[in-house]
Amino acid sequence: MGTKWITGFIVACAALTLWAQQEEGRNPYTSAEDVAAGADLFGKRCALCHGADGSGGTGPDLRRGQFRHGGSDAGLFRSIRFGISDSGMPRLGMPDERVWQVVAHVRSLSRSAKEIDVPGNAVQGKQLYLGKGDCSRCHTINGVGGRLGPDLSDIGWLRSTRHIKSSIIDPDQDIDRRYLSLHILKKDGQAIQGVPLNEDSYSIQLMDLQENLHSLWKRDLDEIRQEERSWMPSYQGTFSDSEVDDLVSYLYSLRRKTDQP
Amino acid sequence: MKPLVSIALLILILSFSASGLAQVTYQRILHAEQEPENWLTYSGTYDGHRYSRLDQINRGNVQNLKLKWVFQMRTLEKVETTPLVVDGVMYLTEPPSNAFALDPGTGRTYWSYVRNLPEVIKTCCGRVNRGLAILGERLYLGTVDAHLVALDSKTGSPIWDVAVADPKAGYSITVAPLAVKDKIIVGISGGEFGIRGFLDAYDAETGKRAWRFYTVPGPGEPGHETWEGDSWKTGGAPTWLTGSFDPELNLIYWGTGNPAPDFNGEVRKGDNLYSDSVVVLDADTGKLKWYFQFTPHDVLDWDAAQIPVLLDAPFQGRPRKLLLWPNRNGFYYVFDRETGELLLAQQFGKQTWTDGLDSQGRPNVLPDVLPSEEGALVFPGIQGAINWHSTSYNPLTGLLYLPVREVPTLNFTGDVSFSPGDMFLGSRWQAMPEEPSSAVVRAMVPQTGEVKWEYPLYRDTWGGLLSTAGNLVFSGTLEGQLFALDSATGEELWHVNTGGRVNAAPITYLHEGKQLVTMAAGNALFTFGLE
Ligand code: HEC
Ligand code: HEC
Repeated sequence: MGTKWITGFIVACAALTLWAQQEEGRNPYTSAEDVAAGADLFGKRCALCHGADGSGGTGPDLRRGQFRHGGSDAGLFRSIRFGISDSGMPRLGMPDERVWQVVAHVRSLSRSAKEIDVPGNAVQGKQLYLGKGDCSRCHTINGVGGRLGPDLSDIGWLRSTRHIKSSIIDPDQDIDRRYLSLHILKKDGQAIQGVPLNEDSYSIQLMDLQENLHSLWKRDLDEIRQEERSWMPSYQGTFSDSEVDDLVSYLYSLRRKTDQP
Repeated sequence: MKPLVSIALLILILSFSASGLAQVTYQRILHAEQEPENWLTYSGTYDGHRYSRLDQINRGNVQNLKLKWVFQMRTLEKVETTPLVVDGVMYLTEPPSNAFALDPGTGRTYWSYVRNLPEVIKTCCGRVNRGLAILGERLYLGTVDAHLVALDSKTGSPIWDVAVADPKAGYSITVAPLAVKDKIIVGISGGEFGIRGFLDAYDAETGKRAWRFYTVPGPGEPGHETWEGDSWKTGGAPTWLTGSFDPELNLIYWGTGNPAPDFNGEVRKGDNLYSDSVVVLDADTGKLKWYFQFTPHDVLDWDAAQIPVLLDAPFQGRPRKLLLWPNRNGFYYVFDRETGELLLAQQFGKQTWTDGLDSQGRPNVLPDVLPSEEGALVFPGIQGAINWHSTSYNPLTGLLYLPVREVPTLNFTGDVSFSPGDMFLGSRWQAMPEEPSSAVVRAMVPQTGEVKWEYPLYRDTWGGLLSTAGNLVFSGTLEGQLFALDSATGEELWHVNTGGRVNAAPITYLHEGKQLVTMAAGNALFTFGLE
């Protein structure tokens, strides 16, 4: 009876501590086994976008130890548990305990800035971006530039250097399907080309190459055709290897800070 | 319409319909009444009239209105938004702090901006939002985590994002910002959390703060003496409803909310300036030109969060620049908006809290109506004889249309202690089931308060009004009916059941040359047109 009571007490205490830690947002699952279990899950559920070693892909490099959606245990838990709305980071539907184990693994990935080598010269990269590359024709950085491609103001937060590089030299390889090039022929003979924005059974919405928004009834159209490529040209051969590195280095440095009160 | 005029209008429409070539300059907002095909700012125009020159939909054909589309929001919050319509594109907010661009022809979206919010958000009355401002090619959005965000109007991509105040301390933004010249004016919510209220202006280009006017004066500033001790630090007086702007006087008119804590005045003895006031500020500097406090030392939560109506009209035979203000406390005020002279102050809704105002407009408060331990019943209740819902002034009839509410509450007083980020109310209130609420839509002569007609509603209303050159007044009810009235007689001409409570005010505009009316009800936006 006595031992039962004591066990009960200890369990209750443990539960309380756990609860208190979670309230404060501290990770209650940080043992070596937890980290290992987290690593295993990471390989299965996260590596696709963040790379097996966490160095990133279409998702960000998680080794930097900098997280714009919150770097506390609670912040990481939230990003991983609920996903990040309106971004490429999905809600993965894992139970809390598993999420905490993944948080423990993500923490263990952190490296110093020196260990994460980004070759290239960002200052020269910016000149190539604005000059020879004329990238701002289609991309916006901090409110300046075109709109046919994704806004790059936060690309350094969103993507890995690897992904940025392949986007430049082989854009059709890993294409953002929201940007597949769209060709429309209206019954009145007018042709419109652009980027798709929205579609249903009756209508389609797009931005044309002059950046005008259109909403069209399908009954007025002869043809809607999407190509397996985007309007982003390949820059293979346009830039030398070191120039590509410069561009990547510049884009990877683009990370806006969250303004604090 | 004469053929020449309609051709001119058609050219105008065609030249804008390829969406977005024209920028929304300050000049365009200044003359917004001249482009009724658009809705460029929260109240339609800077003078707060919420009136449209459009007359395709009129008292002869309004009964033929048909549903064009419904935009369902992904939220269970109240929808208080007023959309903007610019050159063929509608921009709107979805609570808590999201934004959309959509096609008014189909109701289908072009883009969305979904804000990631911190886990803890402090709002008194829902994570709501009342709309956007537009200037140039940018939209401006205030968020419940108290940021001001500039979005690209063609993509929804954020251009800058500045922290206005600390959401953990109970600050939030629900107001639709106001674009004035090259600045974005934005107010703050949090009167139930003991914030220190202010009105801010930001450089539209950079997001840099241009000025801040504290609605609770700090040490050394005039008005500071109206707060006992340190009570000013938690004095409330938020600025959560969009104000109006007089470009000739270069003055901004903005209403302020309740002092905090709401119901216990013992801990903040004094008049508590500038709570429950209209503050009149220089648009360039934010310097106070004049003010008027409607309810000194309020303990009944009577925010002066009403739309300031600016009207140039004869008053007692003399042309004057007037400011019209039906207030939550049950009184209707008319000012000379240049000098601040009070020209008229008279009761417009049922009230039991005062036996009258003196010549300066100061009320003599009766003893038994203030919150007490046993509870004291008062008309109007804490939600007021009018709340924040838009009124409308129609130049064709010369009438001001307003929702008038008759709802008492029983109010209690109690102890209060301040802890940052926690509710700071000083007790509670309750509704009186045995005293059923009611309301009317009223048409009133602005210079005299004379009632021309009233349209009775079954229960109190949370819907704002719109009036048009089609001789119509549009609004909606608590039960979810949208309706149109004859602006001259108040006769009901059309209604439809949307099934969801109305918490917003309607707008009207043209799409491809045809007039549409859009209003939010329940968790959706409904759009109607002819045929
Ligand atoms: C389909 C691709 C994808 C998958 C799968 C994915 N992520 Fe992400 N993740 C992203 C993208 C893209 C972002 C950047 C989102 C943003 O910042 O807007 C992101 C962001 C994050 C962030 C926040 C980074 C920051 O700066 O705050 C964390 C943490 C994270 N992911 C961890 C994980 C973990 C752990 C998993 C597996 C359980 C996972 N992700 C699975 C694509 C993915
Ligand atoms: C004609 C328009 C156009 C031009 C010019 C252009 N891009 Fe793109 N870019 C796009 C589009 C569309 C996409 C999205 C589809 C895709 O992934 O290919 C894109 C995607 C990208 C991405 C990936 C973005 C992400 O979020 O994953 C990067 C990086 C990029 N571009 C860099 C550049 C650079 C650097 C240049 C100049 C050297 C450039 N772009 C020039 C249209 C353009």
